[in-house]
Amino acid sequence: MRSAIQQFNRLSISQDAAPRSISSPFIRTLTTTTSPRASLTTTADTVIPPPSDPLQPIGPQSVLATIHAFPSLEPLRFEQYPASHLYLPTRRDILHRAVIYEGDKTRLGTASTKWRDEVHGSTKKIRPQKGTGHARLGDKKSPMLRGGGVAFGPKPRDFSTKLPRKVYDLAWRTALSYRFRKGELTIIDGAMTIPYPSVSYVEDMFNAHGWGNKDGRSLLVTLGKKGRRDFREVMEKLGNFGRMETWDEVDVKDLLEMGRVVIERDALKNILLSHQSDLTNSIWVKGLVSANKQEL
Amino acid sequence: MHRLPRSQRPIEQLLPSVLPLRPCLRNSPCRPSLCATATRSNVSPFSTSAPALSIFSSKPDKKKHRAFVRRWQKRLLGESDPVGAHVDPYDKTSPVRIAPEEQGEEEELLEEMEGGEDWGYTQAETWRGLERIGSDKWVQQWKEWENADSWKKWEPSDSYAPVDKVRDQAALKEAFHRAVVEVITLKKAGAPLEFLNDFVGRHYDPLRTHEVKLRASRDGSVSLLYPSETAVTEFLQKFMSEEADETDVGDEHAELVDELLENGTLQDATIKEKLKEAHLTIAEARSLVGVLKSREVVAKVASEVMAEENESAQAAEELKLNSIPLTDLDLKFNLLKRLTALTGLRISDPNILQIDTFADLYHQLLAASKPQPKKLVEEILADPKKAKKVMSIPNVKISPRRVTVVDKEKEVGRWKVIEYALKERGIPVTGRKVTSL
Repeated sequence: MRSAIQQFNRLSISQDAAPRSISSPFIRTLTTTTSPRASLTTTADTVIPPPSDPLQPIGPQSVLATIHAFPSLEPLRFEQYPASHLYLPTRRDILHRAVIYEGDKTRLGTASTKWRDEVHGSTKKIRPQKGTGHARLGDKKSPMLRGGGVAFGPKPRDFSTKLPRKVYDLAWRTALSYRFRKGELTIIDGAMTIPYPSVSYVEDMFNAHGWGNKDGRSLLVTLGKKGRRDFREVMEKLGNFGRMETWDEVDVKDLLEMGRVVIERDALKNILLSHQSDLTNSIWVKGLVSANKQEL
Repeated sequence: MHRLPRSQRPIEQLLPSVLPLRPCLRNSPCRPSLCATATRSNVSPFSTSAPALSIFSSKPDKKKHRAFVRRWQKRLLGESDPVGAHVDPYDKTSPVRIAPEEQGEEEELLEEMEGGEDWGYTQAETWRGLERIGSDKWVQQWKEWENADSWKKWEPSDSYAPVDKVRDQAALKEAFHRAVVEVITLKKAGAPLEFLNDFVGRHYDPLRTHEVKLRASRDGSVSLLYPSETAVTEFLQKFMSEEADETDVGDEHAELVDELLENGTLQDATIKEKLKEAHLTIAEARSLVGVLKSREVVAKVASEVMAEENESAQAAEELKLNSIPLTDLDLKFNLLKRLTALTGLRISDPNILQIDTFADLYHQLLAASKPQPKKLVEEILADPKKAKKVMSIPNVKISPRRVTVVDKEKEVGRWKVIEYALKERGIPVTGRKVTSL
């Protein structure tokens, strides 16, 4: 042990004895000396030039999104959105869990069959136990007989699975971010309305904007139904061009389904506000835009 | 085990009686079909029972047999009439087989009804007013046709971006140059950029932007070198006068507008009243004020600024796009907007995030001009590096379409033989004409 300490001391002495390079730019010590070399900041003679392309380890904190007029799609302005809303990394696993969760949740689970005591009919023994030369049988509702009950048939049940709220909310924003990152999220200022319930008008509009069938159809998300009755009616007829839903009707699967998402600014705001439980501590959603108060 | 004999007659005849005949209207269009089905369906064309009582054929005792039949008939039908008392449905004279038109009594009744009542029926001569039956698509087409005058149609000009997109690189460069010149000119002159909206057309360039040269200033911004000092001022003044003609304020509103300009707000109660008197909406008044204000500003600033601009631009170096940052969001937005109007191309939001310099903007524009590959092979071949990398893998081949059986046969040189054999036998040679991979 002693020899080890001695060796160590010798080593440290020899290190001290070695001449230190004064010009080394990375000498920093944490001791509180008055020497300029001991300070935490680098001295003037050891300036590190700033990198020409500064690396951003975390990435942008906010992103710009263009707000468009409808139906001309004239760009109106840029608007900033937090990167945690519209610029999240694409997590396929989270999206997959959300879509499965939604699929399970929407299963009706109403398939139903009757067990032998639910089948209508007599419980009388259909033939004597012995002496007929035939198999023993009880009543005619036996699952073995035609017209009898079903032994292990389906009964109404709940297929829904669980997903933590925070994961689901993250999936919502991930889905929107995925669209944004692919350039498939078009944000519309105000309400999407058309003057007449004209199918050809909407058809031509979709073709002009590259939203139609050959461009992969479009999901139109609105704040409410008020004022969009004509447009909704037309979109129901133009199912091969896309679909129109309100912000509370769509789910994660819908956002991922078609060629692009065209969304009203207020609808996007409501979606983002009501799906940020992993970002905020409050469980109350405040500041939602009411569809009834929207100016059309 | 006890065995039940089968009934001799068809099962239908065991029912108490056949369906009662329906009274038919004489002139009703549905009559023949209804009556025919009513009668025909009641007569079963076949019977599941044996043609004769085969089980009794060995016993010629008719008495016993008849008693047996009657006993069963009694049990089944609850009546004691002998079998022969029933009408034989296979007999031609059976009432079941008599057609309703031959049953005189009912027809006579109907004639009386028809003759006695006024039906109030008049035959339509045109289709107008009649109920139409057709698919939803047809109904929609009809609706559109009916409202063709009042319903507006989608015009190509309704879209902000022109439908025919610029793909040519030289044209793109020109458009980029034009957008930069226009936006910076108006920005420096303090004119609102909405001016640009009115001359969106690609072929109409009143500013003669191709004559303007771009220069890089020392402070890292873009300077413009105009062909003559007065070129821009002239243009702006001319443009403004055109504007003024279009949006003629009129003497009646002159005072009101002056007042608005002084006040600067439209929410005042007295001003609202005055607007009401002048039959102007707030939006109209706002646009009026906007035009006038911008006109004032432009007139004041334009000439001075442009002179300075030209001086500084002459001193500046040749423009190198790479060196000039594009950090001003307002400038960036307006450039993008102008480029969209000129070229019909849209740069998507995530790509806008990547734009830091003028060069980035130009490269993004070039990227947006390239049509999106529809097939994987197009995407691979578009990038020579990627194509080379994929091609160099020994066991990978690239085909622009699905590899068919013919392609495989051709590859091993068997196709010629197959083709010859097919022709020899007079069998058509199917498959794609051009099968080169």
